[in-house]
Amino acid sequence: MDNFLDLAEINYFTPENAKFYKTKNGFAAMKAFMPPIPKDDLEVEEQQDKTPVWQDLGRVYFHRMFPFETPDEFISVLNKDGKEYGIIRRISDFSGEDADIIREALAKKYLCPEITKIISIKEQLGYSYWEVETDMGRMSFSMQDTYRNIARISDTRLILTDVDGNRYSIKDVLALDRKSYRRIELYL
Amino acid sequence: MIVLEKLPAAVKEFFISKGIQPDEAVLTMKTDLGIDSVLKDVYIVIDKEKAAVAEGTVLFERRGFNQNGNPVRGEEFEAARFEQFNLAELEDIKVEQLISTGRVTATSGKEPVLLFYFSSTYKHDAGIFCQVANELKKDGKVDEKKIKELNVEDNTCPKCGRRYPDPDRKVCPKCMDKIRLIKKLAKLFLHYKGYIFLIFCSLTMIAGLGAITPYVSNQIFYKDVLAEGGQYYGMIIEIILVMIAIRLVSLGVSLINGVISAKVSAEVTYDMKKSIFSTISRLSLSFFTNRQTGGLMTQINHDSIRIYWFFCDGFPYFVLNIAQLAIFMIIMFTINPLLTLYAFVTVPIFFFSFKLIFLVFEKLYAKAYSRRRSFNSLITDVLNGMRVVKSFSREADEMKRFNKRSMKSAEADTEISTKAAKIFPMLFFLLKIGSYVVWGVGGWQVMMKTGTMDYATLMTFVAYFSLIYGPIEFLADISNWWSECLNSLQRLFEINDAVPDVKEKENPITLEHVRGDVEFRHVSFSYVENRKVIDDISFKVPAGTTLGIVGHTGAGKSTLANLLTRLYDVKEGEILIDGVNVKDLSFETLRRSVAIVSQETYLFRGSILENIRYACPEATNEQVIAAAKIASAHDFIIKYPDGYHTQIGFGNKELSGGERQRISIARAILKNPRILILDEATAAMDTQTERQIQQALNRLTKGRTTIIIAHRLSTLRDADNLIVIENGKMPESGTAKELLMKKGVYYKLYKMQAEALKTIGIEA
Repeated sequence: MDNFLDLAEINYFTPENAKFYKTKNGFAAMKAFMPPIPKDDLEVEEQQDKTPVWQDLGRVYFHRMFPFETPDEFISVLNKDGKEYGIIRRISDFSGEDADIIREALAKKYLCPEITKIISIKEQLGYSYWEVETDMGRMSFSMQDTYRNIARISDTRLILTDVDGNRYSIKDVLALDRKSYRRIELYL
Repeated sequence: MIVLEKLPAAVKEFFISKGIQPDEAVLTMKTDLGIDSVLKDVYIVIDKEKAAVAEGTVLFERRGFNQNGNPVRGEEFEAARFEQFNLAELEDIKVEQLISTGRVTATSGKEPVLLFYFSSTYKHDAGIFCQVANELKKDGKVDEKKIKELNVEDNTCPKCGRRYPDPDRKVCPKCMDKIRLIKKLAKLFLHYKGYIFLIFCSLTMIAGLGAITPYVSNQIFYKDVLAEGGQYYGMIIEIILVMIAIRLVSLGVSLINGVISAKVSAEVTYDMKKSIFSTISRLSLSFFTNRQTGGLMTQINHDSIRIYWFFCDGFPYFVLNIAQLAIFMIIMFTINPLLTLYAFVTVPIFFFSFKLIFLVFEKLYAKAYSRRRSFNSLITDVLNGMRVVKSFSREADEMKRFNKRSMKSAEADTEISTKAAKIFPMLFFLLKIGSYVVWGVGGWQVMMKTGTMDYATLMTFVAYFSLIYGPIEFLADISNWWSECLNSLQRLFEINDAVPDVKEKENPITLEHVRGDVEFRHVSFSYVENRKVIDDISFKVPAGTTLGIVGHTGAGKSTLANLLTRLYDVKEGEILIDGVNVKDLSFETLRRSVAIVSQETYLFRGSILENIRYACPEATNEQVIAAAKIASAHDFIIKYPDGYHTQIGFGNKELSGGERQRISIARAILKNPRILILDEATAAMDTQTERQIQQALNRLTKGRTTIIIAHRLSTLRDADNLIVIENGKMPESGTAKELLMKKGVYYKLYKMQAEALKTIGIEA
């Protein structure tokens, strides 16, 4: 019966209706087989022709909808103003160059050091000073209001945000070595 | 016959003397306020044609004694006012609610007539009076069953005759026997009997070891080890080892006791919180609107801890201390009875003055507490309203206000500390006087060699005496927290006993497939007695159509939605879904088939994804995206760095009103209900977004029953039918066109909103 899924008119990109390429300077871009893009919002009201055509969308931006749960699924494809062209259901639907372009763009966008070891945490006057080992090398940063700036994504997964807005990820806090875990346990 | 109040014999006689037969009456009742605003006994009788009111006083007097010597009481009724009203002549009998009283009035011809006054205690009865009178006038008879249902049961305590403070809770605070409370307490107790037994065991061991220690270190040490010819003469090292061993064992037992207590404390508090929370969430919405959320939170936290405290700290220690005191006293008595009597001379004085002082301190603590609370509330108030404070540059005044309250709070705290510093050392000195008496009298006895008294015995005695201070102080203190704990228990049971007003029927009807026909039949509802918010409203929404409800703010539109979803139950009339009364439907059917997006959107702390999925946790990501897209929420969600995983709420991302509304619409869409209620769901959005959502919803609402509540007429442009609500009544209904033709309330609203557009140059 009434399935509201069809009503939402979501445009899913598949290898059949989407082709990704790189611009001259290496930015991600795409061609897509889809209904013509309306010029402004008001036009949506009386939406003229809905028959899909191949069109060159030019440079596109990717955004993960569920960055923590399924980073390689549900990727929103946007224009430069953040208007959505469509959604990539799974990156693995694509192969070869297409998948590489998407993966590369996402990797750039979601670059975030992964903490592997906590060397020290010092707390002073409401700030905490962290010295950590990450997959990008040794780093130190400071956090304000520490407890609140540690986002608990799941029981084991953490995202730390420092005073400058940099993010650091801990994939599995229980997998840290004993000493590191002792240091961070205070904030969990 | 409906008896809201049984007439006393004297009153009955009085009515009979006036030619009214109370035994054949339709209704007998009582109120408590005369027309001259004096508290009186006002008795009212309705028979088939007449309503009679007699105001006066019922006097009791002693009329001799019966043969057993017990006084025989007679009563007499002195009437100050007696009036009869012919029901046929009265029109428009109704309750006029005043501030804390009310009156029942009517019109006779064109003249207003006063029937009687009542205080708010009797407002329910007065409402029933009107209903009975009106039904009698209309049909010549009264549906007693229906009214009895309204009146549910007797609202007075059968024991003391007082009214229950809360008619929904049949508990009389005066007669609510402590025994019942203690019985319930015992039940809870049994629940944790294993733990409490363990704690008892370890405590008994500690007490026993504590009782041995002075005997070993004094009696045996001085008499048998140090004294020549003693049993263990010269075995100093051995005796010290024994002493260390006793100490070590007692240390070990305390350690075990500590570990058990810690474990139990966590478990019991957890259990308590769980049970309190689950009982609270079982209750109907009205319970929450009648109480402050803050209060409930304190209740869950504090009371559970207090009750735990009682079980694991209070009660076992109470028994332990009594036992210890008894043991010590017996030992001391066997050592030297006379000395014991001397030693305890000051104890009663200590107890007495401790009680007295506690009364003083209780008041001081209450004062300090209320000042701290007012101080804290000022801080929250100002911090929350900082925007207003700054925009009117009132910082300096707020500072003054802050200083004043802070000072007051500090003063109260200082008062407590200084008083405590002065009084308590003196009090404990009083207790210690006993020990000087012991030294003196004991020393004299040793010198004089009276009785068996010697140096070792005196030392033992003194050692035991020093041990009784602990239990005595504990026992002096216990009554205070005993009352606190009873208070907590009382509150806990209050929640436990609270009966949800909205109950699922036994053997409810479960509908597999709901079509979505909705019908209101003569529905009336009031949140407060005698003040109808909804008054006799009837309408039908055929399955698959859209109904728009228009009306001014506060006209009762949202109440209709609350009634359909059974957040509250109708007082009169009935609401049907697919021809079945909602009261007969199972909650499961009701909640599954009806979704409501209300004007107050509440989002829980957590991610956007979790919030959308709230009604339907098993929904797939595709479904969530589709629902968000229909609700026009998708576009703003993907602008956040974490997309659907963006955390919202306290300390995280704050969403705007429109965004919150869109998320709650997505939540309702995801539930995919047969009946969708949008209660001002798009009020915080701009017209374009509203338009977008409506277009999407239009597609969605095909084949679905939708009720849209709005005061902006543009929101309702796709409604198949409209009803207008004004002051709880429904003056108009029909399609938009019909309503415009009628030139009634809707036309006026339409005109006004069109005018508003005209002033900015848009013709509607």
